[in-house]
Amino acid sequence: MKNIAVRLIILSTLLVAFSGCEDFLEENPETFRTPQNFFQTEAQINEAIAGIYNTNRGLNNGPHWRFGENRSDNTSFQFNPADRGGIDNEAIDLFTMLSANPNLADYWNTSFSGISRANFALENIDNVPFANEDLREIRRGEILFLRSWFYFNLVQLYGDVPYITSAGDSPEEILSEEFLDRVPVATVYENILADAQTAIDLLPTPGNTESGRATRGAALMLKAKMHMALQEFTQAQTLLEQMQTLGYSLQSNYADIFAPNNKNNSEMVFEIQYSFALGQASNFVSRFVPFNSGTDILGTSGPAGSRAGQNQPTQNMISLYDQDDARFAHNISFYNTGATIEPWMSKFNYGFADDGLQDVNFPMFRYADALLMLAECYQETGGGDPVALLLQVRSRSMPDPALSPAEIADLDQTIADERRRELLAENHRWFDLLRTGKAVEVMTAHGQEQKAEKPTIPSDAYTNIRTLLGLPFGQVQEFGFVQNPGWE
Amino acid sequence: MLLMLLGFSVNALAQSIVTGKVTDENNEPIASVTIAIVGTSQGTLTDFDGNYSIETTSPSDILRFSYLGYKSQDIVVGDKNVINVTLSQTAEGLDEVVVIGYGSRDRKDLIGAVSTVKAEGIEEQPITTFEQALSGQVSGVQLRQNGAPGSGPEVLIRGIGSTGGNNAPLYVVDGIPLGNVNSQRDNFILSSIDPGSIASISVLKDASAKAIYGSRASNGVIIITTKRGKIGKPTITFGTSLGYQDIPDFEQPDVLTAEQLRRFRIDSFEDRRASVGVLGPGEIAELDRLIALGDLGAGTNWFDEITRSAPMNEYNIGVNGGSEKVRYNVSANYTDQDGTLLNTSFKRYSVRANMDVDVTDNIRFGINLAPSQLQATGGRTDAGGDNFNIFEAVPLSRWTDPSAPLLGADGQLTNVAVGDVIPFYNVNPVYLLTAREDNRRTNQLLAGTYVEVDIIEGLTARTFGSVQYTDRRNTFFEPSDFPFNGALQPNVLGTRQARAGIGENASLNYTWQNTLTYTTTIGENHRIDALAGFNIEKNRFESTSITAVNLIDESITIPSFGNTDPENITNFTGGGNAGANSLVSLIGRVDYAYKNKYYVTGTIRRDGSSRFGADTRYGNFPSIAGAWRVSNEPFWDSLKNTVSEFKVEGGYGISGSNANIGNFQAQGQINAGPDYVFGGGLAPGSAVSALPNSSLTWEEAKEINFGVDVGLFNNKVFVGVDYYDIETEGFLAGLPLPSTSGFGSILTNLGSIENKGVEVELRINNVLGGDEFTWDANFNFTTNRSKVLELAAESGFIRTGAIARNFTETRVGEEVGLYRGFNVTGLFTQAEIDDPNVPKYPGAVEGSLKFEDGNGDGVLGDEEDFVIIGNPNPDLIYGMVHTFKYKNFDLRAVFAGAIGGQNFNGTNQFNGNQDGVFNVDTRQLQRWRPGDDPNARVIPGTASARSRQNFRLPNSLSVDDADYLWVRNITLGYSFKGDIVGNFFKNARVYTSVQNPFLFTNYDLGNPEVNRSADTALVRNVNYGAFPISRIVTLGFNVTF
Repeated sequence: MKNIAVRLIILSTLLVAFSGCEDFLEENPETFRTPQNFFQTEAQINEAIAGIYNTNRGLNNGPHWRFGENRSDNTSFQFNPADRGGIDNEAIDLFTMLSANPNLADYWNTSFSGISRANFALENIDNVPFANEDLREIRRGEILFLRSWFYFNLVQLYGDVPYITSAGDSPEEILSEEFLDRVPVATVYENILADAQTAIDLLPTPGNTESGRATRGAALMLKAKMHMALQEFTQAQTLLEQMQTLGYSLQSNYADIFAPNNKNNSEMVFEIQYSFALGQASNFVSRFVPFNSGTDILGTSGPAGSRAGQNQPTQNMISLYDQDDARFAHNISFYNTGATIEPWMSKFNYGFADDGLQDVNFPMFRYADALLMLAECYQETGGGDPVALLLQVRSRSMPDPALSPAEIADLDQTIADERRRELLAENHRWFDLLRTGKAVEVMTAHGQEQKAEKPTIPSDAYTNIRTLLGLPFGQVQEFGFVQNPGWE
Repeated sequence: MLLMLLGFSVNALAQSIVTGKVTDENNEPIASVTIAIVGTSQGTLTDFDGNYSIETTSPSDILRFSYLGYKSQDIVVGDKNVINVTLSQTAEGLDEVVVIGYGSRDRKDLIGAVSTVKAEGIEEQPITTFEQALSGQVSGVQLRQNGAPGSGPEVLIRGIGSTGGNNAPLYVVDGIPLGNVNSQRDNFILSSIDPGSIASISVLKDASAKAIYGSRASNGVIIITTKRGKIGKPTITFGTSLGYQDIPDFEQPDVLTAEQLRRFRIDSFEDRRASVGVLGPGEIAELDRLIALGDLGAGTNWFDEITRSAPMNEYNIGVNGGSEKVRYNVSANYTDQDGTLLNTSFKRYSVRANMDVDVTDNIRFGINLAPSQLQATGGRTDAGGDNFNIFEAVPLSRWTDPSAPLLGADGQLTNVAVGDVIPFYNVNPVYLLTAREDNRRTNQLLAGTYVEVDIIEGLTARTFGSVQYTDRRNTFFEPSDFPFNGALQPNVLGTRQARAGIGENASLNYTWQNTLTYTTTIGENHRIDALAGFNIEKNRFESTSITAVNLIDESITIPSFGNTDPENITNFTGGGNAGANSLVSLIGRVDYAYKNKYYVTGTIRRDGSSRFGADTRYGNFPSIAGAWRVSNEPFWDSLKNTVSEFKVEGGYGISGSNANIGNFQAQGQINAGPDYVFGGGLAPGSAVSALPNSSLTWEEAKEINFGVDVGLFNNKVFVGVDYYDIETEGFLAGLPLPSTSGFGSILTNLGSIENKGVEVELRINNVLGGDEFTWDANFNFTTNRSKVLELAAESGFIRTGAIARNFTETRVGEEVGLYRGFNVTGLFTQAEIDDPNVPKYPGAVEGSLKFEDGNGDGVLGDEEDFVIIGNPNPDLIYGMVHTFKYKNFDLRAVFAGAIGGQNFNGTNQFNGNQDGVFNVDTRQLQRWRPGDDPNARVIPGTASARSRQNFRLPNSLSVDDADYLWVRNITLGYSFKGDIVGNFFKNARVYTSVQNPFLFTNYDLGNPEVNRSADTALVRNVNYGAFPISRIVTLGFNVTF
């Protein structure tokens, strides 16, 4: 018996020892995929691309409106004396940001996350079989469109930025110059103009792809925006004129443009997609209602949070509208708190599908913007009639769209004002100010108005108007990025 | 090697036979006592009645009588044919038998730093998890605990060796490795073990002791051995204790009463008016409203409302006995502990049964079975890991408006605690604990079985298989009027927000361990113990979770699809997860002793783990150590009367850790989740969420240990001193990556940390030397100093921990996890405000917070002016155990303390918020006000918004010294002896025990051993409001039939 037991022990030990520890040690995840077994099919490339669109949605539902709109003279925020915890958000509007402000990192990180996703998709797109080779090129165009859009925002907001086209697969690769060195603005533009052009060449015209995807029209408009930012109005004009042949048209009624039952309409050039039914609801209105509106506006989805009241239209913005302008009635509402009348950004208020959940898309690029851009180009180049384009946009919303003699006399200003009226809360204003070189002048005046209107504005607000943002403090400290002047 | 060992044979030359009987101090026979002839491999065991018989070869033979838990005795045979021996129970010292990895050793033959805690005393302490029994008992071990029922303390052995989240030791129970268990809350793996069933706890601290556990041992190993059957008539033990828990006064947060808070707010407006001249119309209206409220009195003390005194009961029953062939031990435990926070509780039902069977003279087998069920209730008690985690019951009770009533006008508990004084409100803390259901049930089975075969004299083969099966089910339910989690202004109406969820987790961990041990003595002077083994281990887990929100019928509290509105597809969600890891190991150890003077031990373990990439899968973990028992040298004889024992030892070894790497982390991860919408339909999205790192490998702790063991005056006094220097290389942590890569960090073998320290253990047996009254004293001291030697991080530091900004820094050349923030230098005087050369920030006025211009740029800013402001690591930790006996009485007191560590006051983020939106702490009553001398005040005035913000950002006023001495436990017992009980019981005993009776400290923010569940290696000792510690008084009795 002893011998049998001994033999059994020895035998079974040897069996296990030699029957392959390697197999025993081979464990693989069962509920998620890994970079090693992903990026191997067309479907997986498509998933990776959806992930980039998803990042862009996140960017626009937060960082982009804080810096594109809230920072400008169009909107401010409703001061809540009872909740000073949003002080870091308020600093964006008040130009009192320090580089440790988490919003700086938020914009930076979100944008580069989108770029990283794009680079992973691009690095792998040629390694997988596609059923239809044309589709491969279309997808490549979408990736390039999104990546160049992220860079375009970054280069306008931060100036020189690292220009990264590699997927960072390993720490060695990531801790390299490509990821750590800022390259000049001009170099970034050179690259993203080329990418935008490739996207134009690869992407299908509107209607020939699923709604929500980038099209040739979107790429044309993006590239036009880049040229305009570089004061290259002739090139932009050509691209915008091409857009006019793609079948875009203005909706007849301003309020219909953003309505949930009219998604992806003929005016939409690039619309950020939400879907309540698919569990991807939007929620931006909740942050724009007055913080003290309780359940009056939000109903059962409320009450409003104590840090709502963001993107509150300024008096300056309100007075820019004629009282009978349909855009005024739609974009801005007024809430009577009992003590004060608070304006708020009602543009995207189409009610709620469920508690706090909306089914509203967000217009990133739309045709009215393209027409006003073209008007600006004509004004700069003399290559066409800006007034006709202005009237085309105005006539939809104004009983009397005709321009006054004063407006005719200063068309630069008129076009800029029209953009404010038409595109309020669509996150273009700050970039318009940068493009027209008016940021410091306009925001200084805006600051004086704000201080006159509101006793709550601190004295150091609007005294240091910098057109470039600082790089995130933590990133500068940890990785030695060169900081922008005035942010050290 | 096997063949070589087989080559020996032992020729015994029979000369005479010695017989005798071994008894204990009560004259009870002891069975299974080992009787060995010293210097040979010959030996025998006592039988059922304590009798033995052994053949000796010469009158000079020495018989060694040894038995676990008793002092060994050596007796020279001489011309005696009958030797009767009375063994006495070990006072801790050099005679004890110490359980080590895959074996045991006599303390005096042991090399390496191994501390032990004996069973005595554990079962009478009112503790629910055995780790609590380590407090104050052993050197080198830091514990931090709070009062959550059934929760274990954080255990740290010889410092932080890894910046990853897991610095927990490896726990091994009766040979079953349970892993590096570091979950402090609901520590369901360890709390399933009834502390009363434990026979001994060994803490393996240095490399030569722990290297045999290889890749999981670098944070130390804690080996638990449970009680086993003894030969003898069945003894039945029954014990019970009834306890009462209450919260000591110092845990009461010092926050304002309703009237104090109203005055604070009124004064804040007045001070602002005094500073800036005018108030806005909104502010005037608010001021008038506050004045009109009138005196509000004390209001609601929310901490008192959420806490209670709570009972704690425990029942044990056990049977122990056996014949010479079959020995058994069965015990059952029922523990029922209500927590001192409402609705929290812990229940344990556990059984532990083992049996050892001698099949033949050479073959033995045994079986262990330990099924248990744990039930715990109550959740959302402590602050978690979020940046601003103030919505759990304890932090909530600290800031909720004291003017808010507990009950509404209808006499019912309000769901939201809205008061008159401050604008912020959230769920009524009482409602949070009582309306929310949070149940956690764990079934666990630990089972092991072995077969041992003595192949030849001294050579034993053993195969051991074990299973750990854990099935855990967590459920929660929140009714529809439960305010939405985390919202500052919650959904008061709360329609259709009822939520319910289930989480099911099952894991199966099996091991198969095969060892050969060989013990022999060559000649008289050479003893060899050898061990070789092969182990495999696999752990597989499977989990399912379901959450339903917007329940249609909320009387049904288990989520079901039919009970949710199908229109919103996010109302019903669920998912599953599964994974596994495996480990293959070879182990070897050789111990060699020459003349009981010179000892050498060498171990090696080779581990292969599925967690690492194929290239780096295997690791070797060797160790070598030697000892010289100087006192056994002839030249020591003259000293023997004073220095009875003197041993020096040294060792070096490598152990590892794979605790900070997930099962598949080396492979990276694709996150399926960033979906989108194309063409109105779902477009599933995916993204790389973690990069793979195929070169990930073990953390390696290279450790040097020197020790001296000294026994004085016939071992009445024992002193053990150990010095260690551990260099953890390649510790696993996130290497920060520039966010331009789309990633924040990647798990890497990031750098190295050094921990150096000295441990001293001092034991004095019977200090006063009396017969009737005895006093045993036991002291231990540890100093540990960590230093970061190397970090792969580009910057040379890692910053983490979020209180609006990163408030800890771990930097090359410094200790781990230092606090950073503004270094407050006082309050601004008017002269400084007027002086343009004094650095300041916009909006600073007289009485505003003044701090060091950290970057020296002449202006005060934000994080750029942060400097190092504190250090959480204690300089010295110490403990004491005193045991007094007088006649039938015994008294035992356990002390635990620490010196030199600091705590970070996380509550300052809300209780120090001067905006008037939270309740604040009583320090605010001493704040600067107009007319005060700024140099005479510490807490800044409230006029400047920037000053208020800077004060709640991390700053040096939030760092507090946390020196303390806990009297951890006092137990007083009375044992009935002699005729009083003799007719009914073998033994009877009554005792009373007090846990946490006294605390001596200057720390005035509650329990100085702050223990926040979200603390990590780099973010430690953050007081954010944790489960209050309780003082527990129990009365119990034990009887043995």
